[in-house]
Amino acid sequence: MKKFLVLAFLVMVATPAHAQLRVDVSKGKIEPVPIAISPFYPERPEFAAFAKDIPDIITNNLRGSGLFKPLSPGAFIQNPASIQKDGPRFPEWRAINAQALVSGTVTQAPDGRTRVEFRLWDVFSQKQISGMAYMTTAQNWRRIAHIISDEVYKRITGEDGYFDSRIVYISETGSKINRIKRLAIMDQDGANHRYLTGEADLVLTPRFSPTSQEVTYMSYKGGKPRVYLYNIDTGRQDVLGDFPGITFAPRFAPDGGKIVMSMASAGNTDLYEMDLRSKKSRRLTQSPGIDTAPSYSPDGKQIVFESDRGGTQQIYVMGAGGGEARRITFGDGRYANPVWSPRGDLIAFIKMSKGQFYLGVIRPDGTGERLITQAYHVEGPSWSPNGRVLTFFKDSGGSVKLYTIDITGYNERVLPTPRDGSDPAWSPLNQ
Amino acid sequence: MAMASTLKNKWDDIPEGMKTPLIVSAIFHIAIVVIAFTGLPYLKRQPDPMESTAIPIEILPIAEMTTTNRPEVKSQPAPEKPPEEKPVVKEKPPAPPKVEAVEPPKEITPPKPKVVDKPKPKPVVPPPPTEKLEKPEPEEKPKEEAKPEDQQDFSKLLKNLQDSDPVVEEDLPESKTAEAPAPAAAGPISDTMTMSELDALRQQLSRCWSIQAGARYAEDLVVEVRLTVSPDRHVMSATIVDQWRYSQDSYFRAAADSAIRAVNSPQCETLVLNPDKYDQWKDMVVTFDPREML
Repeated sequence: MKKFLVLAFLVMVATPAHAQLRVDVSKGKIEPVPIAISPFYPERPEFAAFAKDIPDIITNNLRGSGLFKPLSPGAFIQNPASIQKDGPRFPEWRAINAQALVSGTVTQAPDGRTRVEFRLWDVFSQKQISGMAYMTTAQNWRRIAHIISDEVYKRITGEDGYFDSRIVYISETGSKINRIKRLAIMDQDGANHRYLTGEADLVLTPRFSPTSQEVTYMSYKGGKPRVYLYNIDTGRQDVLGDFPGITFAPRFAPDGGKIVMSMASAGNTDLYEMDLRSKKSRRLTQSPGIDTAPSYSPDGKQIVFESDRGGTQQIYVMGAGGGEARRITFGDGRYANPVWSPRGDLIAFIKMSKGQFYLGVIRPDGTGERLITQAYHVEGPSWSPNGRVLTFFKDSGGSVKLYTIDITGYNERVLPTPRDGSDPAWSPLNQ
Repeated sequence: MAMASTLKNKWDDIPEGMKTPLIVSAIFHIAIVVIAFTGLPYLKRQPDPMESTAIPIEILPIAEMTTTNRPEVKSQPAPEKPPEEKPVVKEKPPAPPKVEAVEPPKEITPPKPKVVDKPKPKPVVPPPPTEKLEKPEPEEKPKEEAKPEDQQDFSKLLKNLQDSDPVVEEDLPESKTAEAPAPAAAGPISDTMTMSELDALRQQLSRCWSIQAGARYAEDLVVEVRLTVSPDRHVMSATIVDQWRYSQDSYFRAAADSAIRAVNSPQCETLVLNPDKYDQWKDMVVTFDPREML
């Protein structure tokens, strides 16, 4: 045995080492993932509408993200019943260049509710990579479609989705001098639109709570601009403290327990935080300039805000408890409206330079500034819950529209609203 | 014996004074005869051993461009034509894709119950399939190479309105395989992959790889894929080298899946490789590195 081992060792040593070929690929393409979203299989004729509509919503969601290219159902060879019975015939899906396939069924659960099941298949490796089933009442089918879209998005991109979320915004009608501004809410794709406030009071700057179905905003109710808290489920509105000055630009802390905002008093504007339970407030800045538009970092340890303390409007970062602030923007023009991304890697901002407005992103350390869209007037950036997409509004002089854009700077889209829309605020994922 | 005694008697008859000159004379005569047969001894120093060393000469075929995996040396002549000009021999891909038994849809345990309605919907387990999945048709052949799709600017994946430089189609960068083992270690120099062959492979894989632009810390999502390639240049297996990270990091997993899709995509089904150098590429590691693109 010993001899054999020695011999084997000698043979190994004597054999010249095989050098493995290594190839570095450092170029690729920016191409959405081709995905086939098959109509679902309805186990009963009464589910036929769901079996078509749910994949349609998934298709719209994934296409809207810009990261997927849903293939035309006209090219599909295998039908839903066959997928359900035999599983996917992968060569047929591969033949139409699908990299992923979504299939599903709609059935009735024993308790009478609707049961929707989906599976995500990797066409090249020919295996199922995700699958879930949901039971709900029939009227919730849209939400099921959004949840499935999120699952597919997450499995393919690695990031959480954002489709099962809502957007609150200011709906605008009327002339420029007699503008009616109401609080409105809708799904992220524009569906299920409804108004939250009446036409009587002017409302501005709504912000979603990151942890609950609450919105904070500024209203001129009673003639005095103050920050309010609105519970979407109950419809209840509360004034957030009674401050000696004008309060505005409120924003929630990541844990939902605090709000940071600006207060203008005695000719000076500084940042304040307020604990929502104890209603106690604390002053965070003491500069003689205007400090406003605060936004917490996702870990709640820092605040980014805009200030003209240095002579021009620029963006600063400081600890959440106040103290010394560090300027992070140094480019030409003025910077405003900073909003920290939920994933922490970027801060969105509005830049004004040479008569144009730009939407941009920058890293919290002040590096990597990029301007991703531009218009006569761009404002009000708000992040999707996964930090991948920004919503904002553009005023073209005639109408004000909501938009979304991917942080790469591509895939800019109009977000449909019944009337003009401004000041969008994205909710966290629905609970 | 008689002869010997006769010689002895004659020797005895020779007077004593003649015996010594006679012996000396005989020795000289013998020496002259020996030298006549063997030649004079060479009394100088030995000749320089270098003069007799053989010079091995290996006759090598001249490869198209270079014959090394190392990065191009500046002083070398430039390639005559870009690698993409090289006619790529597209062979008929062999029939059956590697189908291991396709797993039936597994029972799915949802990671978290999703609340859909007031009566909370419970994630449930989809039923196992009633039948096995069909095997792919052996005749199934991928379509021809995708037509040159809308070429995008590969130099920047992230838009920045501040960058006003015009978009310029750029060539693939120089080889980054400097860290690759010296080709000599793998075999005779004529068997190593040439720069043009490597570039062709690189370009082919680039066309199949979709970058995860915009992902968080996308620059850290460098994926190494180990490929086993059949002699007919089909990828037989592709495995992610960093399995631990694949199981832990959903961003990395998505990037890794994207790399696997690249090597399995129809455009990369038959790799652009020189069949004569099978030993060189039968087992390779491809690194998908998005850093230059971000």
